[in-house]
Amino acid sequence: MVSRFSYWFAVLFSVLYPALLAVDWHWGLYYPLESQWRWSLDDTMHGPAMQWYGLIAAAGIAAVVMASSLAVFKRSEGVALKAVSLIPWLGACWTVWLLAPFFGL
Amino acid sequence: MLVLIGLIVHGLCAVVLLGALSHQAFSLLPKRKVAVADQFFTRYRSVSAHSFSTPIVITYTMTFLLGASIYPLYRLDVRPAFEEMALASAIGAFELKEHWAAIGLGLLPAYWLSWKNNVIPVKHSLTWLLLMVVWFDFLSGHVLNNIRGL
Repeated sequence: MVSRFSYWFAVLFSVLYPALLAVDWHWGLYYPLESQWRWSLDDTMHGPAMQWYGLIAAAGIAAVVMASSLAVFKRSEGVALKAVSLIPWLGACWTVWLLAPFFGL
Repeated sequence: MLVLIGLIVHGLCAVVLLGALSHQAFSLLPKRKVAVADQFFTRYRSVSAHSFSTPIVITYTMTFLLGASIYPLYRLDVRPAFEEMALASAIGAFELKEHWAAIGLGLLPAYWLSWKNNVIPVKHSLTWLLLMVVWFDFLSGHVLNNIRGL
């Protein structure tokens, strides 16, 4: 069960993370100038807002919930093993594609 | 001063991680039928690769956490400088570094289990993917720090 959970978590996290990045959805923002956390953009705060921590939290929690549900099924192990060899690579490539505008592409 | 120490330790952990992961990944390459024992490449890949996975998970996590702790200072001091210099590619490179590092973190449990249980296709795939992430993060971090460091 732990193995199935870990493989499903790897698959789901590597897809959910770039997906949430694409739609700019995160679980909270950190304002480093004020060392304050907020659930969403706050005009009263000074300085930039960092979404990275909230993005990891959102993708991580969603992946934990979904992987826990899938790991219950023993038969899903074969699918998980096949998926975990490929899907994380696609997730990494998707991230590059999302950031392509920074490189003028 | 604390930031400087954090950055240096972050870099040192990254070096350890690079070395360990590179040795482990190269050990997965197909072996020659007749290996020349004293060749550098033969020695480089002749490591007890399965014993590297736990130290790799630990050093990856340490490197990640150290980077995450000094990231706010990058956001306040370095990124605005990149924006003023109109270096969109530098900003993009750091963005890719942080996002790939996060994806790599999510792969660690599966990576560790694939080595423990010797699940060959998975351990090959995840080891090479983590190697790509770590090399890119290391090189981009150094280049960006050269442009404008903390």
